[in-house]
Amino acid sequence: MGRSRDPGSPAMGACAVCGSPSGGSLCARHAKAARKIEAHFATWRERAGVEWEEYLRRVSENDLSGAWIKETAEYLLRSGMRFGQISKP
Amino acid sequence: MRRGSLERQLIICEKPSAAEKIAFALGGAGVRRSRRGKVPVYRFELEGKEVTVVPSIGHLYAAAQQGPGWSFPMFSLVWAPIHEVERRASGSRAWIRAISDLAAQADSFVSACDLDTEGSLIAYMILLHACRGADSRARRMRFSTLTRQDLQAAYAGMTSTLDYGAAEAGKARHELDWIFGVNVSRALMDSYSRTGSSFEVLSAGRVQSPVLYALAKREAAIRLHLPDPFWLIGAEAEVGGGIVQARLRGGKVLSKREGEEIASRCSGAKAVVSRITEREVVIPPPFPFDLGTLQSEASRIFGFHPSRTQKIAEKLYLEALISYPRTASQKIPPSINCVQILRGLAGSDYYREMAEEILASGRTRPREGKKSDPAHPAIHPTGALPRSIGRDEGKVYDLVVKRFLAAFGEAAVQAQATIELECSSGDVFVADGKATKEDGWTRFYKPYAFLKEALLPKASVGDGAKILTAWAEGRFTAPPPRFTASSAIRFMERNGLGTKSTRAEVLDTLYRRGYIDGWKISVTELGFGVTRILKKFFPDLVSIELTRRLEEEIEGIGSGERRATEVVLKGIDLAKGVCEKMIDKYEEVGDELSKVVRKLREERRTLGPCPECKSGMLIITHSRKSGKRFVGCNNYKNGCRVTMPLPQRGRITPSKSTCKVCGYPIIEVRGFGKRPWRLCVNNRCGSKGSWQRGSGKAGSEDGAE
Repeated sequence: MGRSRDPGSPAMGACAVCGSPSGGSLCARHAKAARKIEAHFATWRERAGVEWEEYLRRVSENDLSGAWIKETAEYLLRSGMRFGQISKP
Repeated sequence: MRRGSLERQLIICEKPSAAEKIAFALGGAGVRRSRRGKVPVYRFELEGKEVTVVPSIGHLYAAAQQGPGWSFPMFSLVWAPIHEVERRASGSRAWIRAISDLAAQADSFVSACDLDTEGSLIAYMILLHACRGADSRARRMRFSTLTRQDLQAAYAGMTSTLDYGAAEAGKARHELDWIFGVNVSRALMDSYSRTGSSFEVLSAGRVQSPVLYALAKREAAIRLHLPDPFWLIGAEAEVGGGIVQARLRGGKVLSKREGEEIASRCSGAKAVVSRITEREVVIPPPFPFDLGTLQSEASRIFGFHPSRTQKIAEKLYLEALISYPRTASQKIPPSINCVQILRGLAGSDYYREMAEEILASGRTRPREGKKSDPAHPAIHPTGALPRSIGRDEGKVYDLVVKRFLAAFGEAAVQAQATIELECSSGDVFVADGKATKEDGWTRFYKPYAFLKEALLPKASVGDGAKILTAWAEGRFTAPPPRFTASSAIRFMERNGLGTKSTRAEVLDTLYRRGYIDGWKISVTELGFGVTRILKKFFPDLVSIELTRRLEEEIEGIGSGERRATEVVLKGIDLAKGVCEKMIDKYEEVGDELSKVVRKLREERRTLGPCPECKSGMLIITHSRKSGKRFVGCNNYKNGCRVTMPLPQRGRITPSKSTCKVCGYPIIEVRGFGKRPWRLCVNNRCGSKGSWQRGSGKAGSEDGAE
């Protein structure tokens, strides 16, 4: 079957995680998830002794993590963003 | 026969099966059956009267817009025959005609509809419209079961007027639901269509919207849950010649290192029994069911959706096997002859032993709960035994009977003990035990209740013990639980949202509109979108407090504390406020809605990650040349060339699962009037040899999960 249309790619001003329109790099719900991920890092480092990347990996693989948290953790891992670099929407 | 001179009385019932029961309970062998078209009619003579019993089929009249057109805002409503309002109710025309003809020949009228606001409203509207104002001459039969004895007593003790309070309350509730539902839903759809988008059915409502908002809030909390780690220290210990499972006293440990240290220093350590505590726990019997508790219990035990439980219970009521199920009461008043019910149940091989045990014990009053209902007692069996019964009906009937029997039982008693083992390091481990001393009411409620047991060995303070092994078990904080249909109904009940009759229906509407999904409820993108818009532009509409206050005022009409017109006018004022705000923000609302619907459509056509390039998503798209639909990867621009054909007929939805053979997404294809067909989208999937040979459907199930 021939291909005649691009099925779609993230638009300008779109959330880097879900592609929905946003003022910044993340939409409101993923920005909130990102802030929460940053806020909980200190707890994880203290309790489990893990560093940023390992923390993101564990959170993204945890069955109890919420869907928006997982998606955002995966994105942060993929983008190589460091702790403290997460931009606000 | 002097039939021409007899008083002619027309009894109006809510449903055909209830009419048959009522006719034969009152008329006995003298009942003559006939039909007016498709409407069954029962005639007999009673106490010097020529009685005619005729059923309705639920509501025959509904709130409707006055005049034609599709405008907004709209506050002028009339009560019109339901076949003029709802296309699917076209069959009700014949019932109105039949009742109207019979009413023309009647001298007196009786309402024998269900004794609640809906039943009272059904009868009131029929008497007012189909019987041309006969409501002022009508009397009311009040009953909670369809047994001969109850019905005869209800006929003998009829009230001299209709229960106008309940009817007016029901009418006000319908009118308020109509005013909010029609105006807000129309405004949503209108503002959306003005953005130039194609039609989409959207709705909001007085009860529906706060419930959806609460579900969406819970959903957001679940999706934003970040689990924090903690550790529980467990141990296996030898004490009193037995092995017990124990836990570290003090609960969780917040550091992995600390957890591992405790486990390491305690493994193999000697300990001493430092404390033994024993106490008796008395577990009182449950009280008989109100509708909410029955729905919740049937959901827990059988996995029945609340609306299914309600339908089954209503069927059992119409078969005179149980009392009226739409009740909020957990009480069985003394006027109900429990001994007679127990004797009736003792006629069944299955319940005989239990019923006779209760009768022999002399306990003739069940335990009662706090909740009461002015119209009906708690749900209870009538004592009549089913001759034949369907599988699901049998399950709910058994549950109701056993719950009723359990309410007569004695309290169950368990002895609970703890043994504390103190290591030389100072760490204390606790082993818990439970042993049943009296099984009490649980005997009657099997298999629906059982007492968990964990026996501890005999030990005394000062005895030596040994921690054989200890471990640190990693755990994570859990998200709030998802609502199920049953817990959502309990939530609505707690917050005064809706009524016992309408709660299951409200949830069904949310499912039907596509706002929520699944047995464990998840809110869809559309549900989130609509909630966000309502919260942003019309916060009043999602306010639980506002809806509860309005609900209390409606209840006040029933008890005579409020006037119906006052409550409806107040509701109209509120609805007007919402509509005015909406008109001011029409474009903004429309834009937001079109974003939501766009996202929803995107969601509906996104199948899942592309297994080839692993970075794109497989989506359903259409060929510009042929118009045919196919699957493609949205990473096309970066070189991923995955495309696959799709069936061209039927509605396709992503199933959110992947093929076990090739890892590609599974779709569900629904043809009109056909069973859904699950299919792996990969036409080169190893499970589809026959598909590749061009045989169409073959192989589709192989690739499906």
